[in-house]
Amino acid sequence: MNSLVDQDLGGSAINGSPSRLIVRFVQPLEDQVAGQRADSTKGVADLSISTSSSTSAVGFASSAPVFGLPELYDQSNNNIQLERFVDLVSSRIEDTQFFQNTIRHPTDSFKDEDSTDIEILQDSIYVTMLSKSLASNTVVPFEYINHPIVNVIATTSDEDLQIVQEKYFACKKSIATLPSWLDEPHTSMTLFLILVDSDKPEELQKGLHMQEQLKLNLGKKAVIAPVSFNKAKKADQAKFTLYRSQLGLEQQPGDDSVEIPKKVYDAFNIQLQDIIYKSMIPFMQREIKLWNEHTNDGDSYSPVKGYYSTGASEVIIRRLADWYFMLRDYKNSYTTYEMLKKDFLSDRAYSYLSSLQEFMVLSLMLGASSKVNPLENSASQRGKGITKKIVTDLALALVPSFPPEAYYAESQKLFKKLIDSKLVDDLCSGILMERLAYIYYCYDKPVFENSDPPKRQSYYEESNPFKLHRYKMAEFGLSKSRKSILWMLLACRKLDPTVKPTQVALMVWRIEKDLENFGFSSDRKDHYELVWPYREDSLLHELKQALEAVA
Amino acid sequence: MSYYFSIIGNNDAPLYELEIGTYHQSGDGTPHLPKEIHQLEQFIVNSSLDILQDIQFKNNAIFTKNLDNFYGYQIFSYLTQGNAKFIILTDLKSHDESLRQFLIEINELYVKTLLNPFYTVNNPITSSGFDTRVRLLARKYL
Repeated sequence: MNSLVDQDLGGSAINGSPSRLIVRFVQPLEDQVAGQRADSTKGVADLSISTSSSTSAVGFASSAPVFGLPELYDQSNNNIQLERFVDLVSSRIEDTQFFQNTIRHPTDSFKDEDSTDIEILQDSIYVTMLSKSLASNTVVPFEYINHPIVNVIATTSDEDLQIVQEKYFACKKSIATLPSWLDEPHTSMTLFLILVDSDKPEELQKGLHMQEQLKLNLGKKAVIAPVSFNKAKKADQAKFTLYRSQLGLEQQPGDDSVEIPKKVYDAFNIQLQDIIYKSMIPFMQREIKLWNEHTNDGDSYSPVKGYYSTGASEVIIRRLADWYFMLRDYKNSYTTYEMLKKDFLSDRAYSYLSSLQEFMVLSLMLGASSKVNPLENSASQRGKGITKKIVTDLALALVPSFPPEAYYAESQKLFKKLIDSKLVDDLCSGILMERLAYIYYCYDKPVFENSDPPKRQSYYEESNPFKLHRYKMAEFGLSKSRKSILWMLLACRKLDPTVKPTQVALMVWRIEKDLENFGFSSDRKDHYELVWPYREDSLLHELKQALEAVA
Repeated sequence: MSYYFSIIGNNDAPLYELEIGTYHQSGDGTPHLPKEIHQLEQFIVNSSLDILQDIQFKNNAIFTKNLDNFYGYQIFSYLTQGNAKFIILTDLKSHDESLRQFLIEINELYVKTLLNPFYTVNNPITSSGFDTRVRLLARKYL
């Protein structure tokens, strides 16, 4: 158990601890839960979790609110947010010089302008969609990933002890109003963070005193964090910008950011790592040991309410597994999840079951599987004699221009499966198709650019114009950009030029650029074979017409 | 039950195209490709060239069945010695042998076209005689 923390392979952090630290600012727990409560009025009744039975025959009034989880279950909600984000990105793209000059009013003088800006903007759509579909801050009863583990109450050393204690009780009170599936007061740890102005020596004394008093009066641990506010105030200090979590799409990018001096940021960072490694992880390990040894039999699942009550053994085991997962002990988390599967199935607690299976898959993927990764296999064939691990982890990451085909083949297969499954709406599948086109576009690009042998001097006095030209053999059969063109067209059709004209215009511009590389051109009307893609009954022609009509 | 047949020159541009339906199973030879496929057929064929180029030097076969597929449509290809390609896009299944025969005879026609002193390689084939003969072959095999 003690070696758990060392399993992380992330980059080294400030004080040599092996883990990377990602800080995200989210709303307070009460506000989050209240938000979920408010959203439930929009009606996702079939999947909502009610806190009392409103349908029972006795008919007692349902005063308790119903918890819908729109962020997780209501796809239309996500679609609307994604739609808004795409529109926002589109309007930004339209504002760029590049879009105005090259795509909307193509003139020769601007042909070589830099398109990096719009590419970054365009890529942000996929990144947002992906992070939105993979992660969520929603607090739910059936998993413990978003549940708090440590409550930190921050105060300064010159604060009155009485007020701090009152604050603590108020905090406890507000937690008590949380729904009954949230039993945080019993399972999370409370920690006081006392900020001390390190420029004033007497403050430290005060802080130490407060620490002692809190331990005596409340039995809670307190941590002292010395921060030098004076030095930090200087104007020439390096600044550090903190952003609000971007998981909520409704926030505009760049909004809600706070700038703090780098020194203060570093101080907090160290403090945070200290809390994590010296308080939080030992606390979690202690609790895990406790739950591992004895789980009590509590109430079982209530299908009417839709959740297990807090004392139920299933819930505790689930939390145990989640905490194993958080501590990166994927083997134990997998076996623990597996233990629960039968219970959830027999109780017909399907929301619990689906989340459980999701995390079982994740545990398997991250480390519980003893089976060799098929991708690693194909990679090891390339580098004989070197250990598989080194090749996959290091060598391939360092040689981006020589990616293993297996990754591409696998990702294409999965993307096609996802698109064909029709799980997502037109906008999402359009974005997925665009991504698939991008995968094809990147497919095994040739490494050697000029490896064709130098041309020999021809011994004919004049060259024969009818002689066939040679293929560039270094690239022959390696690129998949024609596949990429096809999928871009499909994406355009899905996105619909009348609905998302900017996106479609951008893609049509890319398609035409790629087609030019293959020698096709819409200007060569005299050559039947070169206007092949631009024929009047082709999709490309239809798209261009639709775009012109919109513009 | 329809076919889209095209001859691709060795500059990867099309020389001849034909959309035709089956004459078997009481078909009368009219193509019934849905609009979505009809709009995309040249792009589907064009994209299958990526795969053909990838495999063409890896084995000796000149006829490749199931070269690629696109939502239920199979692609068959025949590679000539001059690196011209005959490509067929069809929704008909398990029809390999007659397709192969068809393409072998098309190759004969194509070679005869190349022998014509008035035809330059990689130019579109506009001869109506060629077209009639291809349609006759399609009637026989497809």
